Amino acid sequence: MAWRFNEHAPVYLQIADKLRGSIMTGEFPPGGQIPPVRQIALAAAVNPNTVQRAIAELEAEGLLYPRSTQGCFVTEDGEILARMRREAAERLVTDFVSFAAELSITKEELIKMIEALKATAPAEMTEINETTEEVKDEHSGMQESV
Amino acid sequence: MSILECKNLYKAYKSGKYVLADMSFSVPAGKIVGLLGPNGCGKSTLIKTVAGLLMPTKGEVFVDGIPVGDETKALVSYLPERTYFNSQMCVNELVAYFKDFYKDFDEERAYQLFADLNIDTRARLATLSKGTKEKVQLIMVMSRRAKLYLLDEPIAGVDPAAREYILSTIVGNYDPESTIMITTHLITDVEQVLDEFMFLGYGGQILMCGGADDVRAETGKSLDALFREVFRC
Amino acid sequence: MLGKLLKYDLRSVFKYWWIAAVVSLSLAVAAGLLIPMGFVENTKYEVVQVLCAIIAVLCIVGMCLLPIVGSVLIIVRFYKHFFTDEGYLTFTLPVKKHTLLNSKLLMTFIFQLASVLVLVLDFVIVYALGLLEVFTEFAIWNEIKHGLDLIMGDIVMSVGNMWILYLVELIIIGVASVFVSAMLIYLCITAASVISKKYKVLVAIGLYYGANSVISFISQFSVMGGNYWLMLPVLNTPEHVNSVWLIAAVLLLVAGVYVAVGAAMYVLENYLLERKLDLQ
Repeated sequence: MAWRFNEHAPVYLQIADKLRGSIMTGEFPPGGQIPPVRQIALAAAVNPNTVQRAIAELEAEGLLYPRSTQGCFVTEDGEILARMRREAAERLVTDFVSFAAELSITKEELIKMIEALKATAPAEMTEINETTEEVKDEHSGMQESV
Repeated sequence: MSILECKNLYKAYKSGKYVLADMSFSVPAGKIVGLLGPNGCGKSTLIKTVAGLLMPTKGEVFVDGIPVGDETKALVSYLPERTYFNSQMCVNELVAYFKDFYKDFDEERAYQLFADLNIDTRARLATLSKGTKEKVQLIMVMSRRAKLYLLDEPIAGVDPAAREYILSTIVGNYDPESTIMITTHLITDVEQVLDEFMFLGYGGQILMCGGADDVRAETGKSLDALFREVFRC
Repeated sequence: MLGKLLKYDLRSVFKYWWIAAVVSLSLAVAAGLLIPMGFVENTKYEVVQVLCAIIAVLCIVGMCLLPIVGSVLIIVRFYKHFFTDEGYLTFTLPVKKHTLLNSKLLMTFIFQLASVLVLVLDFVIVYALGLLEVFTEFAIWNEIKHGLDLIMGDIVMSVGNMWILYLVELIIIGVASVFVSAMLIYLCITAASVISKKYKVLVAIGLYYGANSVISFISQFSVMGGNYWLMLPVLNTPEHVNSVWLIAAVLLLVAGVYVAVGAAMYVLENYLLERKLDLQ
């Protein structure tokens, strides 16, 4: 199945996002190899040059590095990976909170709902905790500005 | 060296009206280029001229540096809008026909693709459905190791699943030494496959061209949205 | 490339031609068997006899249609391969236009020849099966043979060994006239496609009819018509030797005209294919 892209962001950036996502979920583990450009292009039904551009983007961020003719590998540098996670979480939370604010959902409601989720899915505790903390920070930050 | 080069190309039909006027452009190797425009603007005319089926009224066209003629036909693989094979043949005979005349025809690849699609190669072409005929034609054209592929509306009139298959075949055939030129008006489907695009307007002028993905970065619109804007009725 | 093109042309026409050939041969056999029944004196059933005779004649007419059927198949192949959607494939093959044309012309010759040979075979069959009896009955065969000998004798006597030259010239004329008549049809089809995209077939037929009218008009006044007033001086020349050479010269002229016209048509057709072909 071809990958679906939204209309607004350049395709190569959206591919970069998807690849970042795969790294975060562990589909491409640290030190592991990502599929060759051709394969990704075929799976996504996207121009190989565009895929190449996405990979170049991730290489510039330090997430991927090429190893001569063998292909592209995910970095094992913990700091880079941690920063990536942070940035992804920040983006996620920013979007989440601003959308909630548009719907006039209060901070208390948000935190209550997230706590409720915690109860049903203990495995995701750490991540949700992080998110809750960030929500609290974000929300208080927003309240201050308001 | 560019794979395709047009220099001041003019094409007029008998009525005297110019379908292509003063077209000049150059396409390097390793690109997938979309030739986009509304119906009747001259996309097919340009493609046919490069394929050697039409004579330019004025100007020159070069494929891999050679003026378009019988020699360039060996370098160009052309997929027309309509089915162009003898329906009395069966698929195997069509493969033999291509193999006979085109040195760059990759028989193995063709049969591999036929097998992927469960197409019975002993079947007579006339007995196949329209969609299957189009797939057969596409497979034949893409199984050639040509320098320039000219695909005239390869996904029009085909169901969405077949469209995906056709686009992934095009992507799978990508070769940094050759170039693929696609005409279509189904831009949303094709957008992500293109490297570059050219908008062709009535009167045979290139209205706009550039990198397909850059359009989003520069205008915040998809190529499809940009097209709708440029060619608003 | 010519060989390959020819292979496909021959195959494509043969697919249907062989059926016509078999039908023709079968009709020959039928005629051959029916003739003795139809023409030999048979006192008993006159109606059956007349019926056999009629059917035998029809069979003979039918079997002679083979060259016409052959021509139709050839023309259809030419038209389909060049001027229908198949033309998109034909004209993107990496072969020169004149090679494509040559393949069509060769195919034409081969099938016309084949049709004629089958026709000859037909007559041999009819003769062997049918007329043999009739002829032996009426002893016509001997008379015919005697007649042929006389004619040959006369010819040899009057023109000596020139008859070889005549034969060669006549063969050239024969081949050239087949070439010219085929080229005329092909030219009309090609010209029609250049002139009109939508009504190719109608325009082609119109052109052909027009061309034939023009040709028959011109040949009133020319050697090709074998007009009497041109032959008159030949026939009236008292000296025997001069007229022999004159006939040879006239035949040469006719042959020359056919060859020249044929060559001009070939060049024109090639030009049309090269420069003027605009597939829609």
